[in-house]
Amino acid sequence: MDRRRFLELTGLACGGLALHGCGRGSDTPPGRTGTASALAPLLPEDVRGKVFVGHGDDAAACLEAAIEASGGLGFIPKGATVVLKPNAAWSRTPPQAATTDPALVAAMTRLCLKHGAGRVIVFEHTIDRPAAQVLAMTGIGRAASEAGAEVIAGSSQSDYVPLDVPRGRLMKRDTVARIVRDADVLINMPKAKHHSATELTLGLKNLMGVNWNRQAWHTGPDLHQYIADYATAVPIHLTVVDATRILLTNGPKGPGETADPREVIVSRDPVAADAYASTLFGLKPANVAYINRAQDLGLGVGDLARIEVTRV
Amino acid sequence: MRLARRASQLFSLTAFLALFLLALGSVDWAGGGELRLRGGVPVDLFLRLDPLAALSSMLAARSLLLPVFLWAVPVLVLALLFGRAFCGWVCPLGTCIDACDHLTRQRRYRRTTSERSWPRLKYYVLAGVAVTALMGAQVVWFLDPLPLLTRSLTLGVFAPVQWASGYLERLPVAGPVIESASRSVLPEAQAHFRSNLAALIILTAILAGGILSRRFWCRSLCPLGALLGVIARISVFRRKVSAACRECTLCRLDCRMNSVSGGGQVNDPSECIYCYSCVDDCPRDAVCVAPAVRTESVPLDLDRRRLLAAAGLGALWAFAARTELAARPTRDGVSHIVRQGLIRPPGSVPEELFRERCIRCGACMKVCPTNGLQPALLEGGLGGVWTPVLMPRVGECVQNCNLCGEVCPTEAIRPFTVKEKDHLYIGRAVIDRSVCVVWESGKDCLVCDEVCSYQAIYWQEEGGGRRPHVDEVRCVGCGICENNCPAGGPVAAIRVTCDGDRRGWTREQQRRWRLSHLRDRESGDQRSRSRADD
Repeated sequence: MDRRRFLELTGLACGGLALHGCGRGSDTPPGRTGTASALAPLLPEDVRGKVFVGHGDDAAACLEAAIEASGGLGFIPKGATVVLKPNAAWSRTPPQAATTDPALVAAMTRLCLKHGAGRVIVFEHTIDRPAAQVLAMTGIGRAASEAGAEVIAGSSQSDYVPLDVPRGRLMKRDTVARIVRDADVLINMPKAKHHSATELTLGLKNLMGVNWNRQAWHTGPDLHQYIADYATAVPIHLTVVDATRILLTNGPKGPGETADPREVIVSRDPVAADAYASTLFGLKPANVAYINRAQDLGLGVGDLARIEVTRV
Repeated sequence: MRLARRASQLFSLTAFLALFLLALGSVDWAGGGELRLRGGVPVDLFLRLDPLAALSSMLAARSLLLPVFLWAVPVLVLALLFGRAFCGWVCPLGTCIDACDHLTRQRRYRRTTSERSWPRLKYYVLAGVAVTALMGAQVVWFLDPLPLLTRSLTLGVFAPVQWASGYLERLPVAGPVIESASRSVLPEAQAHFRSNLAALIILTAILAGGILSRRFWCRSLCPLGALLGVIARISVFRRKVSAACRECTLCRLDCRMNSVSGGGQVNDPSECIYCYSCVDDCPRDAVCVAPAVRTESVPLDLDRRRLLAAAGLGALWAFAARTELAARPTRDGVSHIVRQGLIRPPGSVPEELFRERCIRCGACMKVCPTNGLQPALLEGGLGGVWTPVLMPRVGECVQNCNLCGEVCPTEAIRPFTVKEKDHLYIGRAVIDRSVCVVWESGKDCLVCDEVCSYQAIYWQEEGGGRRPHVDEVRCVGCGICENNCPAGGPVAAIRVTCDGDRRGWTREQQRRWRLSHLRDRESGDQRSRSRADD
């Protein structure tokens, strides 16, 4: 091979690789642009406002009972890819109650696999870094992988793709994790805890962890509206609120005072789940503005009077 | 013996690279989430072996660093026995140079006539850096091969390799293999470093020295080589030529250090690196290395005028570095750093001492999990070039991490525990009310409070809304707030400055200061809190 030929080949190879990279930067195949928002299902009428609460010492058993009562996991197709989105944002240990109970994440993973899910992915865009450490400290990394889930932390911008938010009032465009967009089912597993900006952080707020630039939400005109808007474009198929132990002060990162309601809240209705969870803090759903905004957008029922709570 | 030497070189280079790559925080999922160095090996081993760095550091800082220096003793003993064998058998930079010299291979018969080197230059370099160290500043880091190689790899090579591996991972067949390999040795996010090109150019220039001569760097410039060369003049094992020699001068041509002269009998002990080329190549087996009393020696032949000039240059650097306006002396005895952005890693010794101890190896920057530790350019003055500074907008100092203290070879960053971090004050956050979206336009932002690991943000009713303030007792200056602050572009609304830096105090004093203030507060004295207004 002479020099010229070598340079030609090298150039071709580099060019090819670079172009390949270009494609990855905005990985939106033509047919898929905005599909996530198009897929956002209107909540079936029969699950609206229905909340199932498991109560007890064993979080996994509470979860199973509540899901059983809610009618099971029939919405997960066989072989589907299920993404679990716990709150694993902080380098905090489970007793500090700033992150979702790892036992709950593991139990949910097992239930999904038992139900015939093809892949279960636990996804989080951690705020503390490095992500591996956060996943280890929260115990979620180990618990979930032992239960058979893949644990993925979206730490770089290339893990996120653009997302249209056509039904948003303020937000028109944002990003979503590619893994979440490509998944068949999203199960949101927030921790119920105090939050210094939004009063409480619950299920809808937990979705901030599947977008890339959360800072933009804070500088935007209205954080609560952003939270509600985002949920119109990212369908939540099931919300599991971890209220086994809740953080009452110094949220969202803690450490702070905690209480132990020993409850696991399960609902197909993301707004109703949050509305019920707010009562554990002695608040009304009206105190948490994004619950109202989400109800206004038709995402679910936020009015306690219209919510039907089943305790198991 | 040549094979043995090559094996040793290869082993040493592999070990060096392995330790370099292992200087990476890893997390044991089964454990409590502690960041540990991979493998639990002393990743700064090679830097500690370096007697020049240790001597210069101790001299400049006027303090005995016995735990550091003890590591270098074996190398000095080796020099007493085998002269510069370290250069030929161990030094990873020497091995890289040997490899690159093969690329610029010169024909044997042309060597002696076409090769250019200035063997005495390195002694002038050594004299210069020694004078600088004597006057209490450091410059040896610029040319000392082990810090130089570590730093060049960190700043100039490591990040591009990581970037390239991101592309290679997408190759059809080799991709997954590369991915799994890079996952285990590269950090989770792409690293970026300032002055990476400068570091890379310096390394490339050194490796390209083969154009002038084989081992050009080792012959002409390396101050560590010069130091070992001086010791080598009284070394025990020496090259011996028996009577069988017919002065074919093959050994002279093959000598990569140009240490053999005359017909092949004369060898300069301060140049010879015991590569055994002459021993192996001699057609009559007339050459060997054996214990010997000092036979005739090639004089060092240093020019006094040049030596003085080198010393003068060294002194000039020391004058400049010591008198530059980097720190403002004050009556409280604690120097106040002039540039606010000069935030040192936790556990660092006080600023003056820090600059004298730090050998700019870049190990702390390599290991920093958020890439927040960056090489200083001129924010610490001339004497602070390439020392580590925390740039919170790039990456914060992670609460549960103590890796930089673990890897620092000269204890410029003294080892510390994660528990100590709540009272190792490296700076303090200050809110710029004209940029903060809460102060300025009353928005619902609390990111600084949300992310703060030490609960140092508190809120007060002011001007019709809750406004954030920084608690100076709790804030240690880790910069996670600045890193996450959504306001501003490159410049955040909450910024860490070195004003809260309390490195002048002992750790115990810092701990007590924190505790006493927190206790005062609990007993109802709110004055300190209202004073903590930024």
